[in-house]
Amino acid sequence: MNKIHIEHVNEDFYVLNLPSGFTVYLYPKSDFSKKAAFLQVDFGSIHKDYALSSGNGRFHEGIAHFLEHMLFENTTVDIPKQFSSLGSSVNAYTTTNKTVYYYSTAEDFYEPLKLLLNVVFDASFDDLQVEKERAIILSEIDMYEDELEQGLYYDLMKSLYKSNPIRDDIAGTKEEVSQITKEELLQAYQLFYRPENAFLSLSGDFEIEEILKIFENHPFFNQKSTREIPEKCFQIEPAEPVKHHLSLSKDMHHPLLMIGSKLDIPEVSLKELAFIEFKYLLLFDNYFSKSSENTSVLLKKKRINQTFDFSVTLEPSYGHVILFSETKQPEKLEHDLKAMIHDMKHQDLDESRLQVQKQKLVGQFIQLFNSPQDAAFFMAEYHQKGISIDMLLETILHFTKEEINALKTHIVCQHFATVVYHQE
Amino acid sequence: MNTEYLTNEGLKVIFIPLKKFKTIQLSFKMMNSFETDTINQRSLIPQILLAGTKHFPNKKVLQEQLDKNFGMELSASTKRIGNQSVVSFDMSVVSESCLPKEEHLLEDALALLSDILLSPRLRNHCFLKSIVEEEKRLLRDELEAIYHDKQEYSFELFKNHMFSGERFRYNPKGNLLTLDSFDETSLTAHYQKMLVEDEAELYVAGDFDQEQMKKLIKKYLPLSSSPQTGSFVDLEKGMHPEQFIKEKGDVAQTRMTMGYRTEVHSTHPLFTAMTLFNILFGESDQSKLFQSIREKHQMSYYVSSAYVSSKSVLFVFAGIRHQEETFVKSLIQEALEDIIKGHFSEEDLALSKQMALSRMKKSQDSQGLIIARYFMSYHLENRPYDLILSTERIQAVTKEDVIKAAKTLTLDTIHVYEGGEPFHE
Repeated sequence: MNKIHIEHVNEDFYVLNLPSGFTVYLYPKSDFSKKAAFLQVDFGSIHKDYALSSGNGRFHEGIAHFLEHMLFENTTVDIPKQFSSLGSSVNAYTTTNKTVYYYSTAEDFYEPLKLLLNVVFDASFDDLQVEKERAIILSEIDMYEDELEQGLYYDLMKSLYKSNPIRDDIAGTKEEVSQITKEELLQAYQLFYRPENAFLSLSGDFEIEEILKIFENHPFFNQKSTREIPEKCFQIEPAEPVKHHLSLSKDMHHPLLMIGSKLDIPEVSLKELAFIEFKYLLLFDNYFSKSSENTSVLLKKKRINQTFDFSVTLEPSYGHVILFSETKQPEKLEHDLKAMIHDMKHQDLDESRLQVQKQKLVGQFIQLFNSPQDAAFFMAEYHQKGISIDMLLETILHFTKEEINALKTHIVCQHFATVVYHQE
Repeated sequence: MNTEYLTNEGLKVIFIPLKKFKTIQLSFKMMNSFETDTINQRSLIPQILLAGTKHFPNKKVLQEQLDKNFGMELSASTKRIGNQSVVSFDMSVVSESCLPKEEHLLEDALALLSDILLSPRLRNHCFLKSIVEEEKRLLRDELEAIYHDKQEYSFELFKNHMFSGERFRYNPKGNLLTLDSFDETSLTAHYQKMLVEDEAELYVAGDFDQEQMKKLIKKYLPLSSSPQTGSFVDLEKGMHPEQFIKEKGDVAQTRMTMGYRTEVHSTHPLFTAMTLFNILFGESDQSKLFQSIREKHQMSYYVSSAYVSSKSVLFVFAGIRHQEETFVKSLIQEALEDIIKGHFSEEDLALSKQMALSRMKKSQDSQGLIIARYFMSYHLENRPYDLILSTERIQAVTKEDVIKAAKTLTLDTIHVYEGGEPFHE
């Protein structure tokens, strides 16, 4: 087990690497009441295609989310009730690239942890439960259909990407979910729910010794697996979007606009990629944050309101920047944003603003530690990429204006796609 | 232990020392009774104050000041609790002990708060028309956007029926119908009235030097306070026994809302019993409603209940399958009847108590929630928040108390919002 000291916040956290390839991150904080465990499995909605030496395979859309539902269903015991009776509450969520199972408690930490490990790594399914969860998932999809911003996001993803499964709803379509079978669920489970494809992050008032004891004699986590690890497959995306403009009428009071572009994904390590993601973040923050000149101008011209925001994502298989706002003037806003992105490419980055942005980021990192569970999960996620918090902060503080300016060559105005939802 | 004192000008200050957090949280509260004709003013004025001060004349420079002070956070909100309108200015500041070199973040924070509250950007003793118009536009957008959130919108529709003659019907964030009747002159006058007539309090939670903080407050916040008007419990009570309303709109999932009335309010002897009843009935994945409606009958993706003690009401929310409202309603009523008949075990009650206690302990991990608990405790019971006393109250509740609390519930309005063309008259 390694101890990692984080200089910037004066906190210690621990990493336990087990022979099976499973990693446990421990962040003991005795002065907090809440204890939390997050178990992440690297299997999400984008992991539809995979390759094995015996051949390639493809799952139906929504398989990862369906599995998440299935793990809480067990023929003999009510799992959420078991957690509750131990004084904890359990839940789970699925994103594009991961499924996370978590519980929190102010009572005993260790029994629910054993339960969580069993639930995730020792599951069994039966046909009746598959049908029951299918009904619940179909009504969940109904609920998502009513969420406009989410619909807008997926319409933009479909406009940007040709074949990457980031285009699909995380829960899948009703048609696809209807075709998922027990056998398919079992197959996905066996391929991806493996210790080397998962990690655990623990925070709160617990004894490290007690955690070590749980793992010490657990055969599952101490044996090296000899099974073949499936490769997750993606097709290369062209730089251009599939569709430049999409306008749909919806039942609503004022239009919504989302504009975005795929980002160039360099072939570098996960570590380098994470740093580049932060550079993109600082780049767009410099020009489009709340304190930017662009935001003041757009507010003054009544193009945007408080919902105006942007986001940057850079992952090994997909990457994009998105700008969003409710607006009463979608055509003019689209025009202005495109002009601002064009100008951004030709203006020099504001150096004094960059210094302020760095101060803000340092503050945000410190504030993250007000919530030990968020801090632990964040540290774990970055550790998986080979990055410590101190290294991350030091690297960000040393980013130069030139390095960030250099990214602008990858921003191509013609590669932006726009989706507008307007009134009926 | 917390410390409270009155400043020379009469502002009540509450210090809550907390060692474990990396930030200091400041919350400045302004309270007055909730009146239907001051909703927009009380919602707009805090936002106007955040849109420009004497030293930071627009949002851009104000935001830069926050960013450069290590991402200081500042926001303002207007809420209703019972018959009180509560305006809150909340700031979060990184503790100086967490920073490598000496900074003066706390002083900067207090100076900024002072600037916002006492030195707004004025022209001819009046807010700027451009700022007022922009904040009106932003508020209008925000209120109109409620329509985009089907859950929130169906609750707005529901409130119009269940609380048709009551103030609770109004959204404390603002009223679209009267938004245009205010201009910079009337809003400036109302702001000055608030400074004089509102009850004001400052909460400071975190790891800080109390003597230094007292000096900063004396220097930057020479504010007075008026006595409390209005109550934190709203006793207004209409009645529409089992009124059934169905409305149509563009929704894929049918939203059903049910409203029950009770006499059990925030300071009623059965308050804690009702809180436990709510957990048992519909506030967790172990609740009677969730187990019956989602797990046993698969009628719904979500179903939950919420007890609003400041209004003595309990709501049930469910996203259900189309045209199943009669069946779902009967399941909900059945679950309530079951509890009234005592068809729940001591184990069920123990589990609800454990959830309530666990939630209380976990809230000790959030500065915002700690301040909120102190705030409510002062205003409902006139004493600081006491975790031990609240724990004892939960542990003392018996099965009979929960049944007694459940028996006070009477069904008022059942509202269904489903897909289909709206009715036009």
